[in-house]
Amino acid sequence: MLEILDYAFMRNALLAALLIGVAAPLVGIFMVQRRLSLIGDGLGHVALAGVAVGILTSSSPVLTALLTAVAAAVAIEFTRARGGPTSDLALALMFYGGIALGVVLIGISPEGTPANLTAYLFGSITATTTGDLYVFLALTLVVLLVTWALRPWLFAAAQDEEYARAAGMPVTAVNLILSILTAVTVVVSMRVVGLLLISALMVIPNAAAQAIARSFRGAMTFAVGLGLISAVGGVITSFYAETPSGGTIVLLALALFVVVSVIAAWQRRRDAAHARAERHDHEHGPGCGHEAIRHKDHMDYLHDGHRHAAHGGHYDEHAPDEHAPDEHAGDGHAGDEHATGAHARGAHARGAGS
Amino acid sequence: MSPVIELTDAAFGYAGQPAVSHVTFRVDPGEVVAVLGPNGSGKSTLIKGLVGLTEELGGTTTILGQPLAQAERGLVGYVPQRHTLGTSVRASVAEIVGTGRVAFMSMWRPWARNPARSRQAVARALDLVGLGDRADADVSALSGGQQRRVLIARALASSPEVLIMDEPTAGVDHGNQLVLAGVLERLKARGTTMLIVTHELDALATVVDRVVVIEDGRLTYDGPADSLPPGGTRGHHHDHDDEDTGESAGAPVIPTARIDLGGPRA
Repeated sequence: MLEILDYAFMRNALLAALLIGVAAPLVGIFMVQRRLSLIGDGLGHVALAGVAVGILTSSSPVLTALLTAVAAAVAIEFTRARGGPTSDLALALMFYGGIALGVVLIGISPEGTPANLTAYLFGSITATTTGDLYVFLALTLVVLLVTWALRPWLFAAAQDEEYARAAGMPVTAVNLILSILTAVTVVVSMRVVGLLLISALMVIPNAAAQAIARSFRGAMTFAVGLGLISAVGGVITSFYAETPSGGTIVLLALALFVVVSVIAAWQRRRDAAHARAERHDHEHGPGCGHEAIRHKDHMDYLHDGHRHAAHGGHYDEHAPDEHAPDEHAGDGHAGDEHATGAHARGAHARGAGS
Repeated sequence: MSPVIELTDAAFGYAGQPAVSHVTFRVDPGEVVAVLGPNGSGKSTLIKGLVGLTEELGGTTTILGQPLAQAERGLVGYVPQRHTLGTSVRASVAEIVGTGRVAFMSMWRPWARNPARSRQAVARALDLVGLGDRADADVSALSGGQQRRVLIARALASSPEVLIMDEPTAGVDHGNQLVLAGVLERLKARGTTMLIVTHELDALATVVDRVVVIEDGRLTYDGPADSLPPGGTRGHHHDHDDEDTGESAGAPVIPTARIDLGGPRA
C-alpha cells in the first residue's frame, strides 16, 4: 500500500490533495451560503488565461494564474456589488473570455500541447512539482488562517447582509476577502483537481454536509472531512486506476454525496415515525408554567400528565423510556403517556398570514 | 431626560433623493413608539436610516446625543423584516443569534475574542425571547413566529440601548402574535426602548406608548394611540409636490391602506 509514497510526484500530489481537501470545502461553504456556488467555476475559467500568459512568457504559470484569478475575483465582486440587470451577463463575458483566451494562447505557445492543456483543465497527479508545492503550502496556510480568523464575519455577512451592514460590519470588505480566498483556492487546486473541476470540490462536500448537519459548525466540519477523503482518496485511486486525478476526486466526492444523502433520508424516515402532541397555542419554554424534565439532550415539558418536546415548529409526545429505558428511572411519572409511534399529526400553522 | 433618538427636520432616502423628510420626533428612554403608515409612505426608509441602511439627507438625527453618522452602531439593535430565516446553509439558533455579537469582536486579533462572554450574551438573549431551550435547534425547523423571536434575540445579543423593529408581527399567526407581544411586554418591563414599524397596532396595543404616523414621506401624527383619528390621518394637510421618489415611486400608495387602529380584528 505504502509503495506509492516511494514516488516523489505522489508525495507531492498527496500533500497537495491534503491541503486542498481542507481548504476547498472550508472556503466553499461561504460561497454556498452566499448562493455563489458557481463563481469558483468562473474563476477557474479566467485563471486559464493567466496560466496561458505564464506559459507564453516562460514565467511561472502558477504566479500568473494567481494574479489573473485575484484580479478577476475583485472585478466579480465589484460587478456584483454594482448590481444592475447586466451584471450577470458581465460575469458570463468575463468567464468565457478567460477560457477562450487561455485555450488560444496555450495553442500558439511553443510549449502548449494538448496534454499540457488537459492537465491544467482536469488535473494530473504528475503535475505538482516540488517548487509548486512550497507555493501551495504557503498559500493554503494563508487561506486557512484568514478563513478561520474571519469566519464569524464571513458567516454573518453571508447569512444576512442587510443586518450585517446595520450592525456596522465591513460587509463589502468581507465579501471581497472571500472572493480573493476563492481565487487563491482555485489556483492552489489547479494542478491536482484542474481548473474546470475545482469548483466541484468546493461545492459537493458542502452539499453532502447540508443533508446531514444541524448547525453551520457541524456542516463545516463534516464538509472538510468529506473533502479530505475525496481529495486524498481520489489521488490514490487515480494512481492505481491510472485515471485523471481531477475527475477521480470529483467522482469520489459525488459517490460520498450519494451515500450521505441516502443515510440522511433514512434518518429522516426514522425521525418521522414519532407522535405529535395535540396542537396548542401555548409555547413551552423555561418558566412557562409547566414542569421541565431533562430528557437526553433536550427538555420535556409536563403538560396535563404527558410530556411535550419541541420538534421543529410543533411538539412531540415523548415517553420517558422512549430513548433510554434506564435514564429517567428516578423521576417517577408513571402516568406519562407512552408514544405509540403513530403519527398523530396535528395541522400546525407555520407563520402563514392570518 | 435626554432622548434615546431625536430627529429634527430629518430626511432619509436613496441615491440623494429623499423618500421621507421634515421629520421631527423623539423617543425617550423606556418608551415604546409605533411607526404607522401605508405601504410606500417612507416609514421603512426612515427606520433603516436610523441603522445606516439609507442615506441621511438633511436635518439632524442623534442617537443618545451622538450625531447619527458617528453614533456607535452597537447602541441600536435592528430587527429587519424577514418572512423566514430559511438560509442556504444549515445554521443553529445560537449561531444566528451569535451574529449579533460579531460587530464587537476584534477582527484582527482573534485571540482577544471572548467566546465565553458571547455565549452568555446569546443565552441571555434567547432566554428573553423564550427560546432558551432551542439554542441548538436548526433555525429553519422553527415556526415563523419563533424565527421572528430569533431575529429579536440577535438584536438583543449586542446589548443595545434601543431596539428598532420592522414589522415584527407581520405574517405571523394569531397564537404566535400573542407570544411575540408577550416577549415585547417583557422587554418593555425591563425598560427597553423600542421603535416598532407595524401594520398591526392591535397586536401590540399593550406594549405601545405612543404612535407616529408617516404618510407620503411626512410625519402627520405624533401622539397617543387612542386619540388617532379613525382611518388614519388622511385629509390632513401635507405637501405632495416633492416626494415622488424612493420606495414611494415603486409601490403605489394605497389610501388608508391597512392602518389597523383598534378595529375588531383580533
